Amino acid sequence: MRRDIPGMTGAAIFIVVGILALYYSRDFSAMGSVFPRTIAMAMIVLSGIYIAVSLLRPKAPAAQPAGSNWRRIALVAVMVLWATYFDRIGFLTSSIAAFASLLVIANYDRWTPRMAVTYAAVGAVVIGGLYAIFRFGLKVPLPEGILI
Amino acid sequence: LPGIEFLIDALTPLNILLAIVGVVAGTVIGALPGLTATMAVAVLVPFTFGMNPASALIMLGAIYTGAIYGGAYAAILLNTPGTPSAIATTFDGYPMAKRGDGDLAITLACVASVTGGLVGAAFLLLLAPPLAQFALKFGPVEYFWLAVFGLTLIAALSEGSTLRGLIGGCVGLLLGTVGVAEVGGDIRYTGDIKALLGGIDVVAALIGLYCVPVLIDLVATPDPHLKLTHQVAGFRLKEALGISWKSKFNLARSSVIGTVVGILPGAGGSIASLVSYAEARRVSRRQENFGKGEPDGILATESSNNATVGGGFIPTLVLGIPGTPPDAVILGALLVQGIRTGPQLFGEQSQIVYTFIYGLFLATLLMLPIGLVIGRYAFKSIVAIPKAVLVPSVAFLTIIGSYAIHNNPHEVQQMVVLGAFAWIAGRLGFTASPIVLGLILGVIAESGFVQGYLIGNAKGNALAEFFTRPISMGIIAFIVLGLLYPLLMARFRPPKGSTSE
Repeated sequence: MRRDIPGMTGAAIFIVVGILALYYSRDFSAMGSVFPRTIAMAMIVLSGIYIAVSLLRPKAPAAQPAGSNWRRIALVAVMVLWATYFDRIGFLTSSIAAFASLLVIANYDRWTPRMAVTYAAVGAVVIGGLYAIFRFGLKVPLPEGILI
Repeated sequence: LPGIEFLIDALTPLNILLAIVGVVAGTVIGALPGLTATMAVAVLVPFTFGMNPASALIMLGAIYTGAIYGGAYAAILLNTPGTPSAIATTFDGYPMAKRGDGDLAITLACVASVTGGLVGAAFLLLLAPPLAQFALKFGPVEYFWLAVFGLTLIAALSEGSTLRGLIGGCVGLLLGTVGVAEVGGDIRYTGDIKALLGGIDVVAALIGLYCVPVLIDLVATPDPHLKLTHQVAGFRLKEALGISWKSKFNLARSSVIGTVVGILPGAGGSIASLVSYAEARRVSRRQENFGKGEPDGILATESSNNATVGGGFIPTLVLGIPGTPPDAVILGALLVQGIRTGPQLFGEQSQIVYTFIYGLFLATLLMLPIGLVIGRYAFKSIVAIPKAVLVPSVAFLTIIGSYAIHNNPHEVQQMVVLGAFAWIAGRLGFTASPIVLGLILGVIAESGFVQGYLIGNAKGNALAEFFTRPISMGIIAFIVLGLLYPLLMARFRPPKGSTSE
């Protein structure tokens, strides 16, 4: 049977994270460091045991989801940009741009004028409706930024 | 009945309206394959921030219970579970739809969901107050051990290995230490980023951890363009009630299983429905019909997954430890409202708790007409919503929702980053639920640990403070049992091939 390479990779990453957590806890007070240090050590030990067990007793790794990786990356990129700049650009404008980008990323069908108009209308209703509910109904001060 | 004087508070026009809106919204989201009940609660939770706590809880409970039920539509009519908790519903639901009994299967699922939901809510009403009374005896040390117990349980019950669950729990606990420490005031792991001084916001983190990975995977594959081949022509309510009455013991057993599984931290509807299904088949005189369209299969799975709603609220409200993943989101929402759950809630703020519990009964009852009508008239339209519209709409809700918590752009960034991290961790085999539980229990565990340590030191023996108190010893025994559970199950499981599938 194949070894659980993804699981072992994750465990190795968490060992590094645990070591970093221990390293950066050196300046904490005794009271502030006891808990994170204990957790970091537990994480290192458990991850080490996981790697050892995976090497000694190989088992099937977790199933990997299929699909388009560029669309996944594009979605994350759009959301990161959206989350980073919405307060400077303006919530409404950034949301319209992000919504349109995500529509393009998520659509696999051939674009037709009818589809474009329908999706744009749905986008306007979703963004406009939710914006109004949060801004005026729930009194959330959505940032206006440089554009709105 | 406990708190019966608050029944009238649950029945205000506003609360009834919120229950209806919640059930409809939850059912619609739950009916969409790929979207989970946790996600339904997470994306809709910001709508409740402006409400009074009892009304907010009623709406969230209604969303939760509606979403769990909504998963049955797609399971029965499309052979695709709308939510993970409806996986076992496909086993008999789809064969029933194929032979032309889809409408009966939907009504059976609805009746079972309402029954399970009512049983779970009844347990919540009757068990929570005495448990809260008992929990008043808990000190910091007991809370520390309870948090550890919650983590070991989720590790034992989580998909995949116990070790991966425990590691995920540690990741969550470490994330919970970011920011200014509650005890001592140290600034920890902020990397000199001012935005992290306040720590990681639990609700923003939960929206990210539960919603963003779903979006990432939704966008990766083409729209399946699901088409209904089996129409829902009528309700067949009388027939469904007759079958349900004949299977009352199955319904009762499955509802109790669902409630108990819901009480266990971290375990939710998917585990409950699979356990109940297996149990219903084991004791049935029609074992050979299971998997071929046996109504008892649907009754078992749907009653148990909805019973987890009430069951899950028991540890959530009594101890502040979420029973199921959606409870974790609801717990976070209550923290935003300034409500700290725990045994004191049943004394000082009993109006909130009892109004909510009676509101949960109301929402569950409303599910019967709403669920039947949506199944009959709206499911075809719901399932036709294209992914291309769904993905940006849900993404918009996550962004606006995480901003609305504290009007803080940094929390939106935390949400997205943690969501991407959860997706990567998921691909490496580390699921989100243990991380979430660690994040929530981290605060309880640390303050309990440090306070217990200080008290023990003041008494001259810190170790004794942790290991000699009777209630602590009881919880430690459960922790050991929780850790040994997977080993015991593996030891006593019959060898492969000895049972017929």
